[in-house]
Amino acid sequence: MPLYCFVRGDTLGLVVLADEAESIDELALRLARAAAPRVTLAAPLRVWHRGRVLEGELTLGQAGLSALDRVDLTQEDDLG
Amino acid sequence: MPLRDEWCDLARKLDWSFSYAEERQVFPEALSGSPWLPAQEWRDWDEPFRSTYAEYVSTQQRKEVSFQAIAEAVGRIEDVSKLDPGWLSVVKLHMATLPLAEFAAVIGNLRAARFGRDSAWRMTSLLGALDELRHTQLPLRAMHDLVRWDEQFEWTHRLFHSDDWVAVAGRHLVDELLLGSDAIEFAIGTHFVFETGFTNLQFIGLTAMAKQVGDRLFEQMLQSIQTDEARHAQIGHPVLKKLVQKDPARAQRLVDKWFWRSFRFFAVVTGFAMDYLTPLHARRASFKEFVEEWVVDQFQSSLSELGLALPKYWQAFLEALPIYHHMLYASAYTYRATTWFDFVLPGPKERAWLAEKYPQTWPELEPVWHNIEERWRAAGPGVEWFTHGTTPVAFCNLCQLVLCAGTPCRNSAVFVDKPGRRYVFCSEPCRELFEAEPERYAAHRGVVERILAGQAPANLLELVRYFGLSEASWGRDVVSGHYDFLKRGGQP
Repeated sequence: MPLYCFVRGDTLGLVVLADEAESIDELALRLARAAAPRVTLAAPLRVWHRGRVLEGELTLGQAGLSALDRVDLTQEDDLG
Repeated sequence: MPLRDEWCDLARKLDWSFSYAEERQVFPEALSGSPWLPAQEWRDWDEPFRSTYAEYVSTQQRKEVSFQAIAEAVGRIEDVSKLDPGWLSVVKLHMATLPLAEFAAVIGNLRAARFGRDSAWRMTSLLGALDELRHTQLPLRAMHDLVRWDEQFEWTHRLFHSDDWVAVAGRHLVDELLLGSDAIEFAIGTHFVFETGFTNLQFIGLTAMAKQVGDRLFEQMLQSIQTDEARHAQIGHPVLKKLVQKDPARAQRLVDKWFWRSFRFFAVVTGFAMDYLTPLHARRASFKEFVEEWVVDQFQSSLSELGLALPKYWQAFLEALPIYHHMLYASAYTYRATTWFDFVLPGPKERAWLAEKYPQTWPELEPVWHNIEERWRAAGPGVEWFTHGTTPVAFCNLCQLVLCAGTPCRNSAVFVDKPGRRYVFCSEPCRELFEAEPERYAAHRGVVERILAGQAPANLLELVRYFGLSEASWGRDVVSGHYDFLKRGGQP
């Protein structure tokens, strides 16, 4: 499932190919790694979708993510 | 009255009535442009240069001789190889993005030379087409001998024949502006907005920097081209003036659109050059300062004189001016293998200069460069991949540039769902322009759509090869991380 991803503090949007069965926490780690050349986020991390924070244990499918959705990654203390 | 003035307009301003075809057939609206007006409405069209063909040939011949002498004197490998490596990237970027775009402008000018609505307009466009042919040939000729020294110079010709993301974005702009526009849109978009509005950044700003770094070849080439541009850019004003009288809403719409699209183009080509690639000692002013001096002031007065409002996206432009090219450069630095030129890592002195020039926006960008710097320090010189991204990046469905608008804390990308397809735009102006003419843009496949359709690889290394780059040509850090300031205890 391709997703448009934006990491807080980063300078660009990325396209991540994710698996519907992977968890939001796994996605968060993947996004953090993808942006690592430019920005380092401290755990715990939050994944935002349509204005709400997604539970880390949910799979992408359970969280209601669809292909080409936008997700944002922030640190937990970031207000979003 | 001198003989020249007596006879000039007999040839230059020569229109006639048609006996065997309707005027609308000779000048169809689809090619001549909207609104379609009868010939008498264009009868007072004029521009100040009023060159004859003989004068043109004579002047151009002198310029060619002069440029050729400079090229022979200072354009050899042993001359160019002495230049600052960052500056060489300015040359590679500039030389690749412009010559074949200029060739497209030959076609745009030739269309106007046939379908422009007044004979003087057509004559000036014909000379414009010859100018643009020259602007294609000069860089191709000047860079040709350098290819055997540095393969990246081959991209002077290669870029627009490739599927590199910069080429995809460049073609999207150039195809519409220079190849797909009718004579009126071409005159306003190209001559009035792009050439009159923006190219001073190149011809004055970059020329001054070329002089400072000692690149006489580049300096002379830009100066030689500038004198041509100054002449044929005059086509834009009288066309826009007429359009303002007859269809002010369309006049405003065309200015709005091409102002925004031109700004995006120059943010890359000139923004990178002025604020990052040119060595600090040779910078006369920041990109923002140049734009304020040569675009903002001039554009405001030209539009006001014509009775037009500022472009619709003026505020968005002012907000983007101090940050957009910085976002794009930091992104491109960490994806440098996807381009054909090398990148400079701004060190402490460069970043102090940028902080001074961009006090409002630099604080959000400094952490990005600090992060990149720390990764270079951790990996050591030569280890390019540790400061390089591996995940595919997202592109705007209008400008086709990376989604770099907004700020690091708030990327301004917007999404629009249409039947069967989701579109993403870097900014509201790009979204609005797309939605105003979806028939022009909706079918285009950018890099991401090609990856998703299986036409391009998702793996970055394979994607770089799909872009047409090889290990010999892809972009690197100009010194592969061998900066003094990165050494433990090194001097800033």
